[in-house]
Amino acid sequence: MAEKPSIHGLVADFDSPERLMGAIKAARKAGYSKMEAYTPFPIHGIDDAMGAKQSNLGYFVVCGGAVGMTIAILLQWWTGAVAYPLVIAGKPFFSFEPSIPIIFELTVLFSAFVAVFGMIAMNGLPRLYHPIFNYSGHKAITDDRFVLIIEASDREFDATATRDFLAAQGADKLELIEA
Amino acid sequence: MSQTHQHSAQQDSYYIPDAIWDRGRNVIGAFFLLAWGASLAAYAANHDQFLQSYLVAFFFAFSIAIGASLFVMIQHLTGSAWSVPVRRIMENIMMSLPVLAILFIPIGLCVHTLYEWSHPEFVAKEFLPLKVPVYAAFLNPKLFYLRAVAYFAIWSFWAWRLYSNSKSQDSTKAIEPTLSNERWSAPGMLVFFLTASLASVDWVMSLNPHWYSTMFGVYCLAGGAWGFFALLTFIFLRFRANGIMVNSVTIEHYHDLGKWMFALTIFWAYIAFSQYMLIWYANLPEETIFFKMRRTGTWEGVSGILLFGHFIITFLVLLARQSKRTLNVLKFATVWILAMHYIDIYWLVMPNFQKNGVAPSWVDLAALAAVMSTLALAFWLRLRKVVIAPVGDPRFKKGLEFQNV
Repeated sequence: MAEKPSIHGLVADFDSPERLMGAIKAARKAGYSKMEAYTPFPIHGIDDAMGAKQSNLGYFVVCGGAVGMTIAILLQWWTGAVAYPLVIAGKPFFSFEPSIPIIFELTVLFSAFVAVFGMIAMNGLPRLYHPIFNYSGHKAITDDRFVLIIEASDREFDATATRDFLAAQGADKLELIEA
Repeated sequence: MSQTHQHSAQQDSYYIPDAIWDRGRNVIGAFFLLAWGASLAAYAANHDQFLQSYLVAFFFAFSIAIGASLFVMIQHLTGSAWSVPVRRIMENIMMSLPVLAILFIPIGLCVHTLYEWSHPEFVAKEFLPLKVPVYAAFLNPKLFYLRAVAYFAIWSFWAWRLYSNSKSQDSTKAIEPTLSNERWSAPGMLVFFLTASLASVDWVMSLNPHWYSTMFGVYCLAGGAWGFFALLTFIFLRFRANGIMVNSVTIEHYHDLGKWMFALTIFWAYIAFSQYMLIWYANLPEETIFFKMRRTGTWEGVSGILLFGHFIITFLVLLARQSKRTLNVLKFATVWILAMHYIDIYWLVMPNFQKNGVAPSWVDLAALAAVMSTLALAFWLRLRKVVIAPVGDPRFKKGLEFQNV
């Protein structure tokens, strides 16, 4: 443990969502791009303000649905017309009419699996450790505090300049946290 | 984004400027005269063809008005805020119901031309030997008229109740009309759903008196609600092009309207397929006749148009989030959906008369224009010098500021 701990970033603690939004907009204007916000409740427009991009998850979900649909068709065709062909009420061994419900269900099931597990994976979950836990006031984020972190890996990051900048945005408390 | 919305929404006046109103009245009025002139000529030339075309047009408009009524009530029941800026126009589409009562008169007068079951010979030959008294008891002209009067009385009363409550709020900004509309909406949903299902049975399903499907009412209402959202979006896109409510109905509202069109595309397909599959599986001649008629000759092509045009293409066009937020895509979708909904109603009605294959006629367009221009005229006359958004609704401001997450 002799190694000097590396810095994750600078925490700025605000007392209202308006101040936080103001700080995010100012930080983006000042050229910062690697930042993260922590709030006790969702704030409308924060994604846009932080420049978060639309997730790609939707494309994976469409692919998942297509796979589910293919599996459903092959499953019913193979079981009904190839492996165990049985005449039931004079119906064809395989036809689309009675197969649609299963095709629909498996399409939805696979889409839902990809959506849920894809969302978890793309969020980097499960995760047991995060540098935000090193912030002395992190418990208050679930109550009434609004926190912005500018990460040390940001090109514009400078321990003193960034601190001055965030203080000018009205942060009540500033703290460097370990990675 | 949200700040600019709030500020600029106040710049909207919520009145249709007189110049635009006058121009609209002239265009609709000219259409109205032309369409009824053409319709009278068509009626004189071919009585039967006109009435069949008229029934398609009437039921198309009726299903949209019922869709509007159901969704006005759903907005009240869910207390939704996003829809408040567009709700007055929803209510005005709903207010087509009393006008539709008048437009029903030609159908009422010509029951014998349209409905086989109204002929005593038919009843004696087809219904009485069945030993099921319900057919002859339900499908007879006296009860048919009685039910039609009851439907329109109930719908007009309810529509007027919801509409006048909402309007009374414009100047008073009182909360009581909102609560009253919530109370009317809960039983209203039930009453409208049951009566509109029965009306679909009376006016369209009974064209083939032996055939029945317990899903038929839902099928018509699903298509009607779909057409309603397309019409509502179309009207607001026209408003937008003329500078009306441009800052109040934002891309967020269009996105939600698009979501409803998309959801109802799937709902219609779900209902349509469920009806088809159950009939396919049971394979009983008195049930399969419906699809046999629609899979014979050129009607099979129309069925194909519904499968691909009504469902698959609309589904793919509206699937992506971005397409629901692109006004040009929505513009295309609204026209497309209204056309597909018309073809759907045509497909329900016309195979009963055109047994040798689909035979479109100019009379179809004349009857459609006559019905729609009448309703459009009544709609437009109601909008003269009044606010066209429920500005006194307690959720109005919240509705203006609404954003999709």
